[in-house]
Amino acid sequence: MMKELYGFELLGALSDAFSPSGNERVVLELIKGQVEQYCDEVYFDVVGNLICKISTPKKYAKKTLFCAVADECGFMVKDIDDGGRLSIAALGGLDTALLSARKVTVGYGEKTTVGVVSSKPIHSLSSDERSKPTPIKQIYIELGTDSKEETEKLVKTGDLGTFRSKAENFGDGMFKGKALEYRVGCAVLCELIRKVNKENIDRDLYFAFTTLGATGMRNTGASVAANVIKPDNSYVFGGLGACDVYGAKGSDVVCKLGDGVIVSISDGRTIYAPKQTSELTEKLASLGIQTQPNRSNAGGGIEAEIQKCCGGVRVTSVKIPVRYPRTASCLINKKDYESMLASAEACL
Amino acid sequence: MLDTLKKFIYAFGVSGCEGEISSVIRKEIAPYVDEVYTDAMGNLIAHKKGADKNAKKLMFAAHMDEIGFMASYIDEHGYIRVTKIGGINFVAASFMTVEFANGTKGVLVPEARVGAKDYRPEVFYVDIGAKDKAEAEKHVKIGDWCRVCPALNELCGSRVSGRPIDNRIGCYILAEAARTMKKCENDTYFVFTVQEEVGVRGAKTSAFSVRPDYAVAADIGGAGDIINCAPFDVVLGKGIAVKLKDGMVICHAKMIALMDRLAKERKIPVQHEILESGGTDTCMLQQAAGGCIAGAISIPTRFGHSGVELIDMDDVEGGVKLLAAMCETKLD
Amino acid sequence: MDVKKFTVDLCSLMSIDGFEFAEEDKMIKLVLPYFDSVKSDSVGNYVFVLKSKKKHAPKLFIDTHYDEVGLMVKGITDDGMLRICGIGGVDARILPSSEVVVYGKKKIKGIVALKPTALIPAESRDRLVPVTELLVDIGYPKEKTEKLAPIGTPIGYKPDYVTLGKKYLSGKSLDDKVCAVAVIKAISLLDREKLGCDIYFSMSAKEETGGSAVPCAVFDIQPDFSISLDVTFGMAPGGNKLSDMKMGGGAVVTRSLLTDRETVAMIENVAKEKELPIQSDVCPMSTGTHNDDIVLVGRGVPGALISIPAWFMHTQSETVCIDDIENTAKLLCAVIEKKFGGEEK
Repeated sequence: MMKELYGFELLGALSDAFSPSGNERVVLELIKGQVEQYCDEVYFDVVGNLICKISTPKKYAKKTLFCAVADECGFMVKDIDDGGRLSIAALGGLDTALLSARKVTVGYGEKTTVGVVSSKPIHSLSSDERSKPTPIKQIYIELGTDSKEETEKLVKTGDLGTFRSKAENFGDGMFKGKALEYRVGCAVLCELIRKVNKENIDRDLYFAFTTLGATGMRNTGASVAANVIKPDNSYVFGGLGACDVYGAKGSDVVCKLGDGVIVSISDGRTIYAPKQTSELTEKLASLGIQTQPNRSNAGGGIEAEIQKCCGGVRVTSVKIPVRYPRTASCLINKKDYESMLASAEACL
Repeated sequence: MLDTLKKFIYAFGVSGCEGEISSVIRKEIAPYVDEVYTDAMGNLIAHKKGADKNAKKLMFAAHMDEIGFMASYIDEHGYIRVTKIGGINFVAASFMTVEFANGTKGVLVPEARVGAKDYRPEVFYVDIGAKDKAEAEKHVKIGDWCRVCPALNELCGSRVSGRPIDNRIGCYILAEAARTMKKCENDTYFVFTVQEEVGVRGAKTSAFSVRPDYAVAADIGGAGDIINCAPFDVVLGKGIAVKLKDGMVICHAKMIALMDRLAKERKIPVQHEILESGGTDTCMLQQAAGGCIAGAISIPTRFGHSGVELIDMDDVEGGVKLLAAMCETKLD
Repeated sequence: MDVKKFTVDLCSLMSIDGFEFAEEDKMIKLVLPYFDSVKSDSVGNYVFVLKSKKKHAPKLFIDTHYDEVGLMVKGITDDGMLRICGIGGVDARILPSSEVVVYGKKKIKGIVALKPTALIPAESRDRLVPVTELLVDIGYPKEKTEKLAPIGTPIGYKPDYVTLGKKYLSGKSLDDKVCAVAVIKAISLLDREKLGCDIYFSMSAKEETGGSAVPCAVFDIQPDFSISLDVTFGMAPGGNKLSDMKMGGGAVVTRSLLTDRETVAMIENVAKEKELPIQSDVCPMSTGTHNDDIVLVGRGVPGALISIPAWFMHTQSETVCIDDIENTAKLLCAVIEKKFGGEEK
């Protein structure tokens, strides 16, 4: 049996898992191992979502869906040249300019290899090119192989890749790792599942760890999960990009590390269920859990999909600020994370 | 205390023509040292012997040259074209009264209908009021050095402004340190270098011949308290700046630590300076011959290379005390 | 001597320009076993000496530069982030969101903060944020940051070494410490009994900032010959086919006005005799390496330049082919034995 992980050890393990969009199975198997024994039902659905169910003994109970995105920003191998180098295409929100000179993991499933992302050498750049981010056309991945054949033993076209990074404590009470904007939600759901006391619930609880969420596509795994489960209401957990750097002011800040969880009233894609959301906010206040507003009204994620599935679902989102999302080195404040754990319990 | 500084400021000394400033400084420092001599490049070297034979060699360097111009062509109307010596800011130099080494006054102006964004050395000329070429040639000949007229004005509190504060203020700090030091533990050389503004030339040869163990340059630095300037942590009035790095040198950590320690002991306020571009004598001091442990102090200065270079004399006093403290401290 | 392990050990050390002394104990512990003695000077060069048993032996100066590019703290913002400037030619394209080590009162993890797009004026969004406007996030409030990483604190890329494929090594600061590894490996291969010259191996300072310190060492030693080693650009897509060298193609021998023709020819002949792969490079005037700073010092020093091709220079993922290090070491050893073997002259 898999060792049960808690707290930042669990979050770190999830963060390190190699699961760019399309390769969610790696992190999902890890999650499955952590929560299986606490659930009545655990399965992968048609599009790869991991669904965990805890049933109430009550008949005709209502259904609550807890949801978090499982994948992370990544890229796909498009081509292998004669020298054995890889050309890539970004999947959704990955800023490929940030890949330059980075070490990356490439592969499919558990079979991976390490590469270095390269671009046109600096001495061959014009002064104009030097002052611009590297265009994707100039980016390729070097695997240290000498030929296409040698590379094909390691990697195929269509394989996936993402940053190579190791989660760890950072600075004064912070935590660093890749994919934290998604994996904080996964980690919180894992801990929540373990805390459910079956005797005390009067609803069927579904926990969905969904696929393709990092691609930014209009419909992702979350749509399918919601369509199949048909929940009455839903809570979505994850991270919200914090721009509390470079002296940002006003709505540019979005949210601030260390200022607590964010229960948004609305964002660019969703107006959250008013009653359910304000009830949660009040409850968090009464429990002394620190919250902060979402100062911007832009962005949005899988909440929009869940809200609009079937006949509509009451959706509330619980997020924590994540600095530098979609990079190899996202930062969160550990206190915020603990507030989110407490908030999740308050949703039961 | 401004009397000495005034003497230094008013003496002529464009790069390559440092004779006058050199003799003014020589007169000022001679009583406080054992010997004063001028080397082949024109560097003025004042030597004060150390306490004993094993004393380490400590060299202070301040460049005594200033930026300026040189007459290059006299046209039929008696207008004088000039070439620049050192990094001239033409916006600051335009429409200023200038003087030649022989005292001839004139005005430096751009050609008519040339806007500030098109200022290049070629569009400038000096009008000395001559009627024609013949009259002009009585006062100025090709190759004569010229500069924007010196000035030193007392502003609010301890602040002064004028030119060429770069780098007569450094020379002043060296001279004052020589005058006020209570003892001379190290074999100390006060070197007033030439031709810094045209490529730190004098420092190289003087450091080669002195071969110091420790060397410290004194020169003007920048100031981060000017409206709309890039963030820069050194400001006027918060003390003399200990240089950490500039565009040409990274100072020796031992030197930085020594200065910080002395400043703390003697309660001299100091700041730390990082200049991202530009350089001073420091780099040449560091690399001459077999190299030495080099560092620098910078006088926080607003509006460098203009006619209104602005400094705080309190910072300068700190610089004097810091150099004097180095003289009084046995280095090993 | 395991070349790969030695390379990782040496390159992991912090030696940013001006801070070459930072981990000198560890560096000397690694290198000194291969030499008789070491002397450091006041500009940051470390000169390791291996004496010949012959009297009045000629002096061979071997140079590699020990310094590496980096960043420096130039200020601290109100929210405790570090304002920075570059030390040497840092590649601005690769900095945003890179992980770094801040060498303050202790080693502190840092991230080069990504500037949110919303804060960049629309007309500048297609440009990189210049290095001098970037911030480094260490996750501490201002008061703590001021204590931990005061102005002047150096910052380096995070050491993270990986083996690519079977024979490539990737990580920070291989420029130019892999060349030091090649020299040390060559020394370990030498037949000490036959050594006919005194070797002065300088791990020199301040190459990356152009304020080269090596002339000071040359001035003091007054060598009879010099061989400089540095990295050169490895061939890669988008590179310059004329000047870039093949990775794994062996040591690069440079012909230039500033390299000694006889010595270059001799090196080429030795390579042929020993069947070692080499490549030729031509840099007509300046070689852009320490060679140029050495040959015209004092009474002059005949010099040669040997280079190892590298990819992704001045990034956290500089990459070399381990075969090239090994072959350069063999070549250097053979050259020393041939030219200074003791039997000739």
